[in-house]
Amino acid sequence: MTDAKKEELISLLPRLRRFCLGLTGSRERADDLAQATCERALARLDQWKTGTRMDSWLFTVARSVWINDWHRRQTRGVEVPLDQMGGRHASDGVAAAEQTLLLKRVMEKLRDLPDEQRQVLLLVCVEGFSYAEAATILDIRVGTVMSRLARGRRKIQHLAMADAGTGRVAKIGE
Amino acid sequence: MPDETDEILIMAYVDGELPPEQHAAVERRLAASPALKELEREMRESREMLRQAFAAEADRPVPDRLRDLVVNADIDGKGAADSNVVSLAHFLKRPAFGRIRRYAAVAACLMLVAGWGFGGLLVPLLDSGSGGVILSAELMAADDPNTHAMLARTPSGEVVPWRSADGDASGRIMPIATFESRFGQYCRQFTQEVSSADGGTRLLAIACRDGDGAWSTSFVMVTPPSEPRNPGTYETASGPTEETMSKAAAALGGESVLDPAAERTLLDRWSGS
Repeated sequence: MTDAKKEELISLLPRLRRFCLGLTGSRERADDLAQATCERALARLDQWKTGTRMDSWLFTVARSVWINDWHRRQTRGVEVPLDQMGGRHASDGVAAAEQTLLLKRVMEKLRDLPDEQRQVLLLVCVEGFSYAEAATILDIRVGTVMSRLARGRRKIQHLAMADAGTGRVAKIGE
Repeated sequence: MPDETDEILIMAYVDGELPPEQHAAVERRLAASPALKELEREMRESREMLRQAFAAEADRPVPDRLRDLVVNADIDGKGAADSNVVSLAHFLKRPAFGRIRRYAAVAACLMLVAGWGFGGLLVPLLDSGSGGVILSAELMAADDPNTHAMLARTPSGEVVPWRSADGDASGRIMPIATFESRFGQYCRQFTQEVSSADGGTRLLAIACRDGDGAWSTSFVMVTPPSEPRNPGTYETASGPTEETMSKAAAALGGESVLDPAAERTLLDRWSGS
């Protein structure tokens, strides 16, 4: 029982780190946030109800740590070291470079969004949560999820088009 | 031109969030409107751009440090103390503690006396060389029901995660010693890191247990969150804070510290009662 909970938590660590990266905009801070999230999640593991989705619960914890303990201490300006934004296949140089570039550009755009829009974008577009799930995680109404998501996507899209206008075409599609 | 309502409708269509009849209705409108069709394309692109940018991130190997934190976690309140101790050092280095560290440099030793029974006894001690008496919500952590529950079952030297009963603060507790007070109570000296919305701090405290099982926190000090030189062990009288703590413990009769076996027997009895 206990080990099963731990195993499930471990299986979610890669996604947790990804979410933390999107929130913090830095690998180093993402790992610190992921660690703080795990510490808090482990301390209150009894609050997670068996049979419900652990990923939603874990992201709720991460978001709460981020909002309450971290974000207010954060100075504005999130660095995105390009070299460290590695791609999926180290051997596939071109694909990795494209992936790296895309991630860097998208993170630069995310940085310019309000935190509340960034959270919704990451949960829905990156993590694949439904509107209702995102609303639960963020403790807001579904209607609020939708309006924040629409605004965030419009801005991201405009920034991508601005890139395209200056010849920096973000590669989209398969 | 599409308005915001259209925009949200098309977005929900793209995200597969519409019920079937509404989905079909949007499809019909899309076929008739190039402007909406353009909106649909943008919504698909923005979602795909985000998904793709972060796709490889979930394939990155998880650092051992993070994995071990979960693997070795003590989620039953017993065992696995070593992993918690390793993590304690990291915990103290986290940005959450930067503020309190600066604060601690200004006021190296601030104190609070809780627990009316011993207040009169301890106040004279505190007047010698103390920075003053403060009251803060954070310090109430030492008097939290969950803190007392931890003290009732955790052997000295073991670090366990802690969360306040109201859920607003969390951190770690490490009992340091157990002793019988001159008032016939068992008391526990402990250290506690507290992280809350207001910041983080480290406490040194003593709580005593009545015969009926009720705990009361008798003594709390805020200390600089210095890293222990020997994680898992407590250094006595290594500074003014610890010295004052020793005095407080002595005033309660703290010279009769229980050995580990006697402490174990006591904890077993408490957990059985």
